[in-house]
Amino acid sequence: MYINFWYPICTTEQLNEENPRRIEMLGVRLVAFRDDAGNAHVLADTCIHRGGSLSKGKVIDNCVRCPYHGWRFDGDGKCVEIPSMEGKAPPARAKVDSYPVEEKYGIVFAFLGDLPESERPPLQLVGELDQEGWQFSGPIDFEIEAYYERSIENGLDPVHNEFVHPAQGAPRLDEDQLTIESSEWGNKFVATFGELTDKESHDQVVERAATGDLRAGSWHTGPNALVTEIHIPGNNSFIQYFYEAPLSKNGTRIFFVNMRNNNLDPSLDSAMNTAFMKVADEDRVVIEGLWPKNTPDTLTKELMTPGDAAVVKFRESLKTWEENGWRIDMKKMAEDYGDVAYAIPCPARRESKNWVLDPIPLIPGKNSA
Amino acid sequence: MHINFWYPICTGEELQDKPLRVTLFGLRFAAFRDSSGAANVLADTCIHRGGSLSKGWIKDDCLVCPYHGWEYQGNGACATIPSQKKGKPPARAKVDSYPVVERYGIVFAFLGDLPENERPPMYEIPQLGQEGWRASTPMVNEIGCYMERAIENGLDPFHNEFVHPSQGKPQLIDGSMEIEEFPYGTKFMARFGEIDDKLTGLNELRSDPAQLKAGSWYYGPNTLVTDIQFNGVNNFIQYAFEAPIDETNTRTYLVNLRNCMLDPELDEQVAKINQKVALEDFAILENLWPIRTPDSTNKELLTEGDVILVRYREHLEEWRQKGWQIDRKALREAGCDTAYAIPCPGRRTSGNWILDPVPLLTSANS
Repeated sequence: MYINFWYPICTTEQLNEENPRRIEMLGVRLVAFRDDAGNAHVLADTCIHRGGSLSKGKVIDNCVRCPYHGWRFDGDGKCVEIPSMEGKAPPARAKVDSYPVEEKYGIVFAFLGDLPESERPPLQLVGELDQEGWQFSGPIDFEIEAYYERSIENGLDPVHNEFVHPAQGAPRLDEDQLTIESSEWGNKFVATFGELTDKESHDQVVERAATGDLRAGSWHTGPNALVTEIHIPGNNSFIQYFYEAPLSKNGTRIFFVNMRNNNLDPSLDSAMNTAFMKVADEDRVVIEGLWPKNTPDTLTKELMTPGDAAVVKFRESLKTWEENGWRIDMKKMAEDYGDVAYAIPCPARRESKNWVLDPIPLIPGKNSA
Repeated sequence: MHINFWYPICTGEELQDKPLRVTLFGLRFAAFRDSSGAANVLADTCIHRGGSLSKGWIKDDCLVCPYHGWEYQGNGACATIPSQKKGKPPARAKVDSYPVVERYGIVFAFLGDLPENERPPMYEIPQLGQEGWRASTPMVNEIGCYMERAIENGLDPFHNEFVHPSQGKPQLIDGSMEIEEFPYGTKFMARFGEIDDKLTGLNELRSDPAQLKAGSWYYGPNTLVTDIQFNGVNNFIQYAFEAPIDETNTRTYLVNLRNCMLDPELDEQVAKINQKVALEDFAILENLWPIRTPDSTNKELLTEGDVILVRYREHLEEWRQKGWQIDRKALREAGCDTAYAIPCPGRRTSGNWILDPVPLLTSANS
């Protein structure tokens, strides 16, 4: 797991005006809440007084209020009131980490890391949203009992469809070598799929043209966003965005958004989503059964083939981010579980000192800041 | 978590004619009654091949291991080894046995190896048996929190305002705190005002803001007393004896002493009121993070109101320096590989003990 990327926190709908919400991911506890203007905020969940859980408190006057002693924290993480110190301004140390937030596509995203704005990896945007001729559906959020990197790698793998996805007609990859297009934050391939090897089970959501190849591909942005594009003969395209939240070694929450250029009637959204989830469930069965739960640390513990090229590229990207010093030391986290309140450092830690919560342990990288 | 104090093991009622398995500090104990009704508390692990004594049965004042029938007396000595037809069991055939006192409806054991004259005494409830006071039976709760967090919560006069609507969210009156030190503990009493008067609906427990006085104190690592003087006359004194089941769970035994509502028929009502307040605390305690109190106070932002719990931490530190604090990390690492026992006083007078003594922190390795 890595800091310094955009992570999905919850859906817009899950975060109401009245109650803060607890989210546990990347080994830490976070609290999300809305201010009076409706803006979402994401803070570290641990009150720096004596460990109260802010998410079990209340939203009062644009602040989240700790249920233990009533300390109020604003959206910037600053403590604005300590009731027992009547009248006195809270000390400068009275603050918790607060993370940059973007709310889009019905999802609340937070940038979990301390990079200044100019250096941050971008949030994966949904490009077709403003284009005519495209229909949006989602978000759907669901949990799987698997490590998120296994899930992303599954999406970058063009060879599994033939075996895992009868609901898609089990398409067979028609290329020996994948062409990978790499950029700073991701790797992409688009390939031709020929034969549908399981026409019987194919759960067709659109009419296929009689001739023409199926073109499909996928890419990742950062460690946890995956996009899949599927172009079915007859100009029927689907672009699917998966934003993944690593909950633990054995848990991932996935927020899924779909764009389509066909069957544009919104009343078809629900039938479409049902079909997509059927495919997702086919993946779930396989991903949840993988062993070990985490991908092995070296490629020699697996036998990779040319079809795994995008997966290998993904791992190289992860390595780069590890060298930046962004990889969380999960072993140290497990060792200190319950004894230390760690927080993912927020951007403000670069500008001011005196933070009470310990910053999350990171694996030192060659290019660590 | 510290050895060498008195810990509640179970209620008197829970311990009948069958042995009982009890877990404290993550370690197993076996409690049983002999034919005179006296309670005994032993390490649970048979030193032959690891049988669980609490899964056995009682015979002739002895606890019998269910695996090979070894019979242990209340003092921990093995009296009979059935497979060994000749001679007495060897001197090594013994498990730790702890001093026991049964009081207030609770079976307490002294978990440690100090000789009698050096032990921190059992906590006495002075009002017990006095005219005009009524004691409740112990109210037992299990909480998913670390014991020291629960004790600190009780020593904290500022949380009531936010955590206890059922007490009317009493606010501490500034500058009214009085502190008193005594062996193994520290006490505060303070005045509270600004009561939100919707409470219990019972006249006897209606707080009078002009007279409401309350406070609390700890005694040793695991006894917490709360004194609430509602209106100058009516008084609740609550004695909480706490047992760390392990490093994330706590069992509490609460005994209420009251000088009002003396009719026994009101016991249930008093218990209900107390439980309501307790549940308000548990909701907070079970969500604290980290689960254990941080090791140093600069991982928190403590205020003047936290002065008593800071004293409590200083006392815990003193007891660590005496070598009484369990090394939780070492215990955790050993996992299920080692049978540890809290050393009993018998270990000071004889050698040859088979179970490993629980790892303790020394002043050097904190």
